[in-house]
Amino acid sequence: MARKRGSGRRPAGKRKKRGTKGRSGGNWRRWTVRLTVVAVAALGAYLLYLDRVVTTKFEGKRWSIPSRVYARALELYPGRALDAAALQRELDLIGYRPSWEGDEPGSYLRRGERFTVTTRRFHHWDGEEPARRLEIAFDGPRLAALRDGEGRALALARLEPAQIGMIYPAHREDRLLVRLEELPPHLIDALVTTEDRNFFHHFGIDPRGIARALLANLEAGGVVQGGSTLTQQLVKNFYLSSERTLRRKINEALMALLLELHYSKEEILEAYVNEIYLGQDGGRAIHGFGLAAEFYFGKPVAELDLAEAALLVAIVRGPAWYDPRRHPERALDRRDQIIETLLEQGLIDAEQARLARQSPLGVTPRPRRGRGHYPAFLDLVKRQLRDDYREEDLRSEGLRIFTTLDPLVQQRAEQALATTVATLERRRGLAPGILEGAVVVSRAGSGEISAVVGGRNPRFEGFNRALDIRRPVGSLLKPAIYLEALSRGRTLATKVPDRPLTVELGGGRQWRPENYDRTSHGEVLLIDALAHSYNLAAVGLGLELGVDTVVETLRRLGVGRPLNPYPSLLLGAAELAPLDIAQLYQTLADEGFHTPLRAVREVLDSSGRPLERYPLETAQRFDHATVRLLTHALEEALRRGTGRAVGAALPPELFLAGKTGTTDELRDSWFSGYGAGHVAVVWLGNDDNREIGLTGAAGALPVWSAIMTALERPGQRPPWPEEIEWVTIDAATGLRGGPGCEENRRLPFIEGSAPAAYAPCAGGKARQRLDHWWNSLKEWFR
Amino acid sequence: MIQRIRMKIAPPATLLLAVLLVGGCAVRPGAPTSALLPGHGPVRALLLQAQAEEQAGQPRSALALLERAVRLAPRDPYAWHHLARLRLQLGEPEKARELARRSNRLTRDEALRRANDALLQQIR
Repeated sequence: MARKRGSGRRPAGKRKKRGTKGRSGGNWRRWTVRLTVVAVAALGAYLLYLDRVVTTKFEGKRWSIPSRVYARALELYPGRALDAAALQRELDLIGYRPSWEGDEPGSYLRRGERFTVTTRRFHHWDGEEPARRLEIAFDGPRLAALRDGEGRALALARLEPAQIGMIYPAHREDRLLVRLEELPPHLIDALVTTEDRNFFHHFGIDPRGIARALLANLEAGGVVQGGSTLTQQLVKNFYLSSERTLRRKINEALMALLLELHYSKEEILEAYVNEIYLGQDGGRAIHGFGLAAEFYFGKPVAELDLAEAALLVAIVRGPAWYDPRRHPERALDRRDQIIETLLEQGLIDAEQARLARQSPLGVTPRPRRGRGHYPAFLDLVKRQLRDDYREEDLRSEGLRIFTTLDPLVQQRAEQALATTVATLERRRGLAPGILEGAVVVSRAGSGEISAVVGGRNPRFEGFNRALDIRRPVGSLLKPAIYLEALSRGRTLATKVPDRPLTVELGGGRQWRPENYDRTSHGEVLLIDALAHSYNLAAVGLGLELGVDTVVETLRRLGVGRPLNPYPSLLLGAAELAPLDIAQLYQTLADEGFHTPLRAVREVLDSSGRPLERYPLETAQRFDHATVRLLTHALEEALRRGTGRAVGAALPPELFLAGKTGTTDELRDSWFSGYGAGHVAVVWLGNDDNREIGLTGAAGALPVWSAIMTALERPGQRPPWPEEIEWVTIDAATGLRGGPGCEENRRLPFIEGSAPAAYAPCAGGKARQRLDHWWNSLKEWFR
Repeated sequence: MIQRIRMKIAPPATLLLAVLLVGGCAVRPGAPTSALLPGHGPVRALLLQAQAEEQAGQPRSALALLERAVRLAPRDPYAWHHLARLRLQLGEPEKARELARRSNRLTRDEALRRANDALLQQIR
């Protein structure tokens, strides 16, 4: 078209030219020069712009790295309560493989109750745990012996912690950054030979490579080889979109040249091996050889052998097409081609090639989704970290977050909740799915949270009931009333009235609390009032102490939420979450020492430097002997009080104490309590707050006892404080008892606080006089 | 400076006991707390390691090791005591006091009680 028009005008042009030849030629030249100058300036500016793009990103933070969240590391020491099955589960969780010798890092050999485990090196907060061989033997429920590879007895060793989750950047790319020198040389050889043979000699683009690819493609009648250099591939992935236009191709070439101008081959290659996309794990994109080695082989990249390295390089060309798990034959073919190329290039010898070709693909089964996935606990971790870190940093700085989760405890808690809830629905003819639940388990002493279950389907990343429900807690607050009463001079043998009462609420309104069995029990021992959870006794005592006082006691016990000081609070009219209750009972389990619950221990930055510690804190808030008296009452509550339906049958050698909580019209079923090692809170209810027809004892307690009997060990009862003495009490009067009394109770007292008087059945005044005389005599001889 | 505080914390009786009990060990006699250790087991190993870290001028590592000991054995009074001692050294007397109290609640070892009491005295 343009030509046609041009040719039509030619004669006129000729005419014109004749008279203006010199001027016109000068114009042309001038214009050409001007245009060239402008073009060169524009190109220069554009190159400068590209140069800036190239260097800014390359020198800045190259990648957003998700944070990795770890469980607690399993500690191994002789005498520890741990059985072979539990160790096996832990080894599975941390991805150790069974092997014939158990002598490669990350592998183990099990013979019945004996294990040979070779650990991987791991950088913990307090230092590095070296890779070493461990010989571990169990004797039933105990770890019996722990030795190193040379047979020397070890006092303590620890495994690497299981990775339990990640906090992702928005694009969900994941990578494990590696340095070039960490890669095995045959991986680099295979990569360069296959993808860009002239890499170390070209300047970013490789005309010879393009020609070779062109030829190969013509020969094959399709695209079998790309002409892009590694530098171009890096530029494409790192800076550009995936559109296939000429403009992008030109940009790619220019940027490749610029990249080569600024940086060494090693720097470019290192960026490449970390950038390259190598697979997909659900929503997570696997980038870089470091993570790909973990993802496909379950080991660090440095440990890859020749065949494994060749397979990773095979995947580079098409992570979906050559996915070794989905298309093993295709992947094997390409791997063998790569081995062949290495042989042709003289980078390996025939024997190495033969051995590599003979080895199987060696990929681990795809990590089962859902396993090691703890959304409710991770939710808590994120909430704890949000106070100290920006959301963006959590998602991009590659932090390593060490938490307190104990996967073995978590598994127990999940199982106990799911199976009990299903059984309850079946047995009681409830609509399937009506029951929901939540569990929090923490460690006595340290306040570290071992498990959080947010619902009966623990893999569901939704409503986290352990943290977010707000439900009335029923009798779970009663221990605060009795602790306050014991702190103010009452004893477990104090007689407490359990009689009908009317509370004036002001404005002419009245409140008439009732007992669960709708009868009143008269004068009862304080220990029985708590153990049987008598409402009238609790309200009477609470009003006597003052509701404000009880609120203050609850606050000191660790309830952080504001509480309304209404009389109904005494019967649990406070809407709290299981986590709030866990903190309250933690203080009781720790004998009056308030220990804040923690889910995070420490945070390291991406290069392993310590950032933040969340140290163990504790503060004495109540007298420890008084709390032990309360604990004794809560043991009674479980074994002989409201919890007896389950508690009476629990192994007597277990130290366990706890309290039921039931709310109006049986909408919520709670149980909270502790043993020597753990504190656990269980809630069952319905999401729409419908009636579930379960008391605390019928619903939550079976879940609680399933968890605690699995976690607690016999013979762990904490010693009684020195200031405790035991006295026999007549249950009818609360005075000292004796052989003549109908019901004698041995009860603990803080020294000097037991009643001095004898019950009439035990001899009354006469006996008291005898005692007095005997004590004087003892004093005289002293 | 640190050395001076340590000397203050350890009552002479503890020092003497330390020297007598571990005379032959590789622990420096100046280390004030060698006797305040459980007899055996993983907690002992951790406390010794923590002591070494402390002496190497790494109190943060020592702290992490001591907390590890508390996690393993929350009722071990020695671990709580050393935590208290270290937190005091790190300038946290309030926290040290509570930790020492907790150690005292858990022990019947007179030497340890004296060490805790001395520490509490110093905080007052």
